[in-house]
Parts: sequence; C-alpha cells; structure tokens
Amino acid sequence: MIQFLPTPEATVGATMPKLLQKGFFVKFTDEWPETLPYVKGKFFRIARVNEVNQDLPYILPSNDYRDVDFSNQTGGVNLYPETTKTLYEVALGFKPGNYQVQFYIPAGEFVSRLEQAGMVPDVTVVTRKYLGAFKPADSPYDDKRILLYFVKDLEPLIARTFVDTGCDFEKCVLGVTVNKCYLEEMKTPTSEQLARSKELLYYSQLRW
Amino acid sequence: MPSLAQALDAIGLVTVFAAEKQNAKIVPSQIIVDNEAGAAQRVITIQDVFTPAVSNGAPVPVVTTVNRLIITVDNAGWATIAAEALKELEILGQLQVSINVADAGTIVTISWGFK
Repeated sequence: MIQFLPTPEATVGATMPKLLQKGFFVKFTDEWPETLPYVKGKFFRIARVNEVNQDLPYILPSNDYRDVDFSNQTGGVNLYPETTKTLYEVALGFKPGNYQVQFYIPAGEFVSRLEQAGMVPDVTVVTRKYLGAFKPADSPYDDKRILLYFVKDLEPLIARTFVDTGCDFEKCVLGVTVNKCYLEEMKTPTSEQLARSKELLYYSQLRW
Repeated sequence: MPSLAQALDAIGLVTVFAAEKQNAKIVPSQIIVDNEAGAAQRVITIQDVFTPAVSNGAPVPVVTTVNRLIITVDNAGWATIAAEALKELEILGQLQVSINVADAGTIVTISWGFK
C-alpha cells in the first residue's frame, strides 16, 4: 500500500504517532493476492517495532531519470522483508532539489493515473511529466509524508526519480525510515480491535 | 561548519577542499581569495566533481567536472564572497579549486556547510 499524509490544516486533540507502534493492529484486505497467503485477508497485532534509517542518494543529469527498485531483487535497494512475519512500513521523504518521483508497482504499472484514456505519468511527455508526481516539498526529508507497506515477496515498487529541466545535474536524496513491524496473527479480533486497526490495501485497490 | 585555507600551488593546478558527502550537497558560505603575494593576476575556478548515478539516458556515467564559479583577482588584490552571494551555489560532489597558473602566493579560504 502507498499512503500520502497531507499537511494538516489544524490539529485537535492528542497527537498520534505517524508510524505503527507496538500494540497497534493492521488488517490486510482480501484483495491481497493468493501468492501472499501469509497476509491475505488476515488481521495482526504489532508485537514489536524497530526503526532503521537509510539514505538513497543519486546524482542525475537534467531531463533524465532513474528507476529506484525498493525490492530485494537484483539491482534493488533491498528494502523488502525476508520473513513472512514482518511488515515493513517505509516512510519516504526527499531533500530539496529540482526533481520529482512517480511510483510504479510493478514496473510499468502506474500507481497514479486519471480516468481519461492515456492520462498516465510519463516523464518523456511534456504534458504528462508532472502527472502523479511527488516533489520534495510534498514529503520533506525531516517530515516524511509518504508511507509504503512491504511484505515478503511483494511485487517490486519502483520510484521513478526524474530530474527536471533547468539545471545541469541534481543530487536527489531519498530519505527512508524503515519501521520494522513484527506481526502476531489474531484469528478472532474483536469489533473494537477491527475498528482501531489500520487497513492495508493492495495496490490494485489504489489504481481504480 | 568546516573551513580550510590553502595556497594554490598544486602542480596539477587543482586543490581539493572537500570530498563528496554522499547524502548531502556542499554549500559554500564564504570564499576569500588572497592574491596579495601572488605573482600576477589569477583566475580561480570553483569546481564540482562527481560521477553521476546510472540513469536511463546515461547507462555508463563518467566523472564529470562542472565549473560553478570563476573569479579573477588582480595582482596584490583580494576577493571576498559572502554567504548572501553564495546561497544558491551548491556543490553536488567534490569541492575543488583550480587556478590558471600555480602560485604559492595565492591563498584561498573556503567555509562551507551541508544541505
């Protein structure tokens, strides 16, 4: 799942932690595929967490891009879990610069698109290079607002990192906090636990 | 915030001030060129040296040098560039200074931070 936390216009009441904490509940929807049976439609309690920071820096030329693969496959940056009991909640933010990021999962499948035919992100087309793009101001390095959820063997998530025209080169620094969550399955959650849980959608549900 | 003063007498005409910090840009906050003891007018170039990452359009990147600032300082002269004038100057890779003619009498002082 990908979640974007917009800037709040006002804050009322007690603040909630941005990341999942010990004792929180998560519910994977039934749309998760059969190839991920250890999470599909299941309900979990977070037994423990551990936050691990990482920076992904790339110097790229103007009007060019790099596909950053978050998975553990060859060429990836290895930010996916390796055990079925682990959920990685990844907070992603960007240091300032003349660049943007568009997400694909798996490669070639856009996360963001509009209903009109052909309205899909494409950095090589002037009229669509900003479509569905996240800029550094949308998720600052010190206030990360993009949350990604990874389980073992999930399809690779690609962050197409594109340096816009108007400069010669740009250093793109993707700041990552991996919140490692150890999952304990709960076979019969109460209605209150279900109400308090965070629902994790599969990517196909985001692409409607 | 680091600061370093060096005479520009390197045989290769290039003097390194700061190696690349991988996850940040180097942002000079002050540059002073002291050519009082220099033998002649000198041309100083602030350079940015880096190897870009592999990208869609450049699958085999090469070491790249970009001249970010060029200063001409008269014989027996000084040049001082303060933070206000440098605030948009960003060095993506290694910060180095080159001079048109190696001269032990030309001293450059640079202060910098990271962004």
